[in-house]
Amino acid sequence: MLCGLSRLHGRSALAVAIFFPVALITHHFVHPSLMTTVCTGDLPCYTAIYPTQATTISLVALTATTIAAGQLIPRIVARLSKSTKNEGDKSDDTSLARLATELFAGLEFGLGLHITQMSNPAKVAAFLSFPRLEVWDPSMMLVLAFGILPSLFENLSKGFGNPPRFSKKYELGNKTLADTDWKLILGAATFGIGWGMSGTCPGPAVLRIVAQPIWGLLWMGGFWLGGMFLADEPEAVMCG
Amino acid sequence: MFTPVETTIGAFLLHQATSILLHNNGTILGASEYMRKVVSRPTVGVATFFAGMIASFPLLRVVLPELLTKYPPSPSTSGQALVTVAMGLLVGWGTKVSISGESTDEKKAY
Repeated sequence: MLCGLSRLHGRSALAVAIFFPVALITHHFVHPSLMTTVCTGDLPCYTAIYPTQATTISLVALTATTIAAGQLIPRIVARLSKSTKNEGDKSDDTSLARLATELFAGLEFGLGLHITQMSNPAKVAAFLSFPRLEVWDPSMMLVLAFGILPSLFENLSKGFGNPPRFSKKYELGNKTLADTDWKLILGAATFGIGWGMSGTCPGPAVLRIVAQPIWGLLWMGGFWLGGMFLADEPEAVMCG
Repeated sequence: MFTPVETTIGAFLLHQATSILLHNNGTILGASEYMRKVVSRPTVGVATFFAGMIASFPLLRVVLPELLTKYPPSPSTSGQALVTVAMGLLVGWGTKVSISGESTDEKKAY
């Protein structure tokens, strides 16, 4: 979703357009009370609450530092890799930079999920409680806005004509909207049901495995089992 | 409750994560793909990504413990356990089948 929509990828948009309503309906069906732990007190759930000043300062500092590190360190690593190569050595000097990128991408992804609380099933469920506004937490809309729009602008201005920094080419998958088949539709809908019922998608699941290994064993077991029912190959993005 | 400040800042982190992976390495950040790879074709790259994700826990515990996720209780009855497996199953099948047939170059193993 994060990667597909920011590339204006029609196939992704279709998947999202399917799984969101399915998840919403599923949530309403399975949890008719729509009560969640993130809606507290007497005020409607869409009422904003704000972090303390101390929290905000720490949060901004942590975020700025992490983002700067994620931008700078892979490039520094690449430059160091290049400068420590011997004369005539034609080997690939970008693999360490790619690893550094993976590390920071993982860190930013994990931090982002915790901080937005998309890793919290109750937070997700509260968003899916729309249109019962008094129990609706609109926070996920900001994820769509500030998670996707900056990427969209970046992609539109950068384009994909030149190769990425540390790789020969972009690997974006080759299917388009024209390749829409029952697998895309049914897959998206099925994902929507699972997500609507549990408020958990793959990224948050990785985090929860760390926090609750028993939950992790069960959910992951199901996840891998489910993936074996169709022996087809590589993957792209469902949930970031 | 609506948390505009935290969610906006966190969303920007999510944007950065997908952005550096895309424009540095040329790859899509596919969580379900990585989860399957870690079992079927583990690579240093995938392991590094997950190491980064896991590192978010100790980092937040030190800097911003109040923002660590508070999870619902772990499943404790066999019924709950079965439901958890079923949820994983649906998401696992859904994410696999909806992108089946996509091909990308898999020659890099880092």
